[in-house]
Amino acid sequence: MNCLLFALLLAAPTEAELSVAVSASNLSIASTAKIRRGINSGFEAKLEWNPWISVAGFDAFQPGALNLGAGWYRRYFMNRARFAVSAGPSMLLFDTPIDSKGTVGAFLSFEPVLLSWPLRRGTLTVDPGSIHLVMPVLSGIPLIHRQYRHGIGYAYSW
Amino acid sequence: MVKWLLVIALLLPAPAFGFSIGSAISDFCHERITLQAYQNALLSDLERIDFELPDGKAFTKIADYLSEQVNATYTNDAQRLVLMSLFVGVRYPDQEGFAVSDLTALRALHMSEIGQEDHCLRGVDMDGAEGNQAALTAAQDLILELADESRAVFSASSGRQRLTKVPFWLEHYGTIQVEVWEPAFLMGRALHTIQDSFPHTYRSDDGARVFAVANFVDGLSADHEAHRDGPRHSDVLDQCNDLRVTPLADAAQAASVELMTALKSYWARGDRGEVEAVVERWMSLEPDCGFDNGYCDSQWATLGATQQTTPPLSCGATPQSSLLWLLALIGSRRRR
Repeated sequence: MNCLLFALLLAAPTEAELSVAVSASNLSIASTAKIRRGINSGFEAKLEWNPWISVAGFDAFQPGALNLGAGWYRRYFMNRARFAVSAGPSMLLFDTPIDSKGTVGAFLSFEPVLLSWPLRRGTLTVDPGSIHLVMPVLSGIPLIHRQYRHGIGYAYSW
Repeated sequence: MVKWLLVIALLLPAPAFGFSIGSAISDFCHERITLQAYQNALLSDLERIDFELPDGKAFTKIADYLSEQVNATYTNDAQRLVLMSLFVGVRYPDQEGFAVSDLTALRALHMSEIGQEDHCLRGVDMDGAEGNQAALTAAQDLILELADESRAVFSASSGRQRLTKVPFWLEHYGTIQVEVWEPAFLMGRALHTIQDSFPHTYRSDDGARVFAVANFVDGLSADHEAHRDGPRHSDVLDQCNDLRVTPLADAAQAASVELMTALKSYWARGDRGEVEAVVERWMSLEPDCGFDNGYCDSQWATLGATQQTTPPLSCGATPQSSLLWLLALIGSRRRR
């Protein structure tokens, strides 16, 4: 399903977006590339690198996870806001004390309000708060990162 | 990014509650002292116990992860299980299954009016010269209770089938349940208390006799009076890797070896006398060397007073401790 949606979007996207976000709850960063198809609503796909940071553990910076999401979005509030949900696989990018790099689990994303400001070229996007479940390990002792992200991005439509 | 993390690490040292437990921002004091004691007191006897080992590979991975932090080695799974159980136990009173960056949980744990004996500190009602003895008695009683408990679980099946699950905080995973060998876990908890009795007391220069017991909770009050509440908790005495503190850390290690040896003997023979003797030897009060006598010019009183844990934002507070406790207070208010 993900592959089909990605193929469709890659064939004819109507908008692309690059964004970065931080999650204070567990100090992580997400750099995300999104493509969309549709005007007021439609499909979107995202690929994001999600490194994790900690001041409490033994390694301050870890590559975190690679997340791939496909889902649905809808614009509202005169196209100044957007609602989006997506899901897909999440891959662990480093060896943890109990799990190996490359383990694949799941990724869920819920973005209720993504604000948009039209620029001369493209659009500035602001994510005041969104919820993401990054779960690269679902077996044994699950590895689940609940992330409450705040982000900023740039989108270009054609 | 790395620079920013270093700045954060410098601004937010681990809360100083006795010798520190290991993390990215604090030394592995308790773990190192425990490892050295284990190598001196316990290692050679483990081969005789036919251990029941935890199921699954998580146990070996977590044990290896903890051991790597202090370069611990072992030759079989029994040693691996005992060492992991000791590490989890000795960390437990400072953490109880949450991150060392969880300031709200840490504050609740360490500011509690009960449980100060886990760290050999005065409770809020332990005032005056008598408060020193009361605090020491509470800590001694706790060690003896843990000794009894560990003896009971050991003797229930000659130490073999004594696995139990305890909460343990693991980076990125949060609080998980790990299986430990219960006698060693309880031994680790007792070791924590006797180890903390060194940075949390003013002692004779050789570290053998106690002159006064520190106060953490009252020490954070602007109303603190040293003659009534005891000396404030000292940040500098907690730093086991500070060369000035090395003799105190060495004394803590000697006491740990003795306690481990005595507990092992208690498990085998059922006679608690050796444990009581160790506690008596290292945790006895010298009543004539208290506040009124200037702590008999103890070098530890002089050193400890150079960097005390003071109320946040007070004139004597260090920038680090002020910021830490301010964040903790903000965190606790947000959750009400």
